[in-house]
Amino acid sequence: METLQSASEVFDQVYLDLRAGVLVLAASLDRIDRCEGSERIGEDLRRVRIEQSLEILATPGLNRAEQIQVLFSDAYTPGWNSADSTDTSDVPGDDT
Amino acid sequence: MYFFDPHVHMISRVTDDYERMARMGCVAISEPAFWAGFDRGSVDGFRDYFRQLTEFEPTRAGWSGVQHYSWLCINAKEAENVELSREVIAMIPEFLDKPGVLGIGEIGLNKNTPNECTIFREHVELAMRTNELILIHTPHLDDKYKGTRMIVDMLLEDDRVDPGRVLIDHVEEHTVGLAREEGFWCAMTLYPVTKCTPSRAADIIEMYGDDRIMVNSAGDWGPSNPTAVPDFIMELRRRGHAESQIKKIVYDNPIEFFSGSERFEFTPPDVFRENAPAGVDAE
Repeated sequence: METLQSASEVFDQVYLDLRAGVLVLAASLDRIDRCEGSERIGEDLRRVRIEQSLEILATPGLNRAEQIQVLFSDAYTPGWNSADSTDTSDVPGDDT
Repeated sequence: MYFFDPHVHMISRVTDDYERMARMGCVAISEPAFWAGFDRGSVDGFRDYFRQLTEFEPTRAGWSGVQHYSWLCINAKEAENVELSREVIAMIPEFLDKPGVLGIGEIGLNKNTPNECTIFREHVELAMRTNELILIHTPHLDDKYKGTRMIVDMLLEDDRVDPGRVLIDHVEEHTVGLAREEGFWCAMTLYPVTKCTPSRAADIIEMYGDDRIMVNSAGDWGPSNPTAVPDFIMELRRRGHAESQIKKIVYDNPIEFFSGSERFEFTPPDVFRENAPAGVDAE
């Protein structure tokens, strides 16, 4: 089920939404920075992730949404459920 | 266009929502057992909940000409109470021969904890023992990627699990591939803020194709929209996709997956509505 529209058709359709979204983002960051204690927010991991996501947005690519989703995700440890795993954070067990 | 909402918690919605959904083309819904907004205190609380899901909701849906199906489990939030969870899992077979019960769900993870994993595996064991379909809830936000991978890992631990009989729900851009690569069915939830928008769901369909995938509203007691599937239909129409392709996602695919349950008896909507019962006053 491939995309049927041309890039210019899609861009025409989403331009105002993109413009509005960027303005919401800008105004929200301004609002935070106007407030007392804004310098401490800069150390908040969530704010760091927002900055990193903006870098992803500014980079050409076809999977920016996926990259941003992964950026905002907890780390996964392959083999967490294997018998010899040293990762104990998610080892299933009966905690009762 | 007729559509099937494969995941909506109608127990939390008013009868007018059934009516609005029907007017927009909804002919059937399936309703997974879920968290009521508070932790229930006893197995009897769940027994009454399952009675409502399997007895009253199909009746109420029928007043609007909507066919109702259900899934049974104790959800991941309440799975932290392992003792109660085991009592509920032991009680579920009382309801597995009720008409319209499609399987075990929505089981899964919430905060990816050890207790959640324990109860997830015990639900899967029940489903394997009773040959039921499985509907899986994946966590929200930051927990989703890790939780989805853990769920897939646990399903792959068990050779009896047929991926074609498992639906992994609430997939987004970073988890849809995890589900599809292993042959599972998957679904996208059209939900304000925390899950997919209709346009992002349409993007995912365009990137990953329309096989083994469906969309739902997951309408519930929180901010949600039980008529979100028609929004998705409109989005695909705006993009020029054929009606037959849209129908595959919102009607044919749910029916194909649910047909894996021996209790899935679907009546074509025109026939069902000819025989729909009249409604009654609630008071």
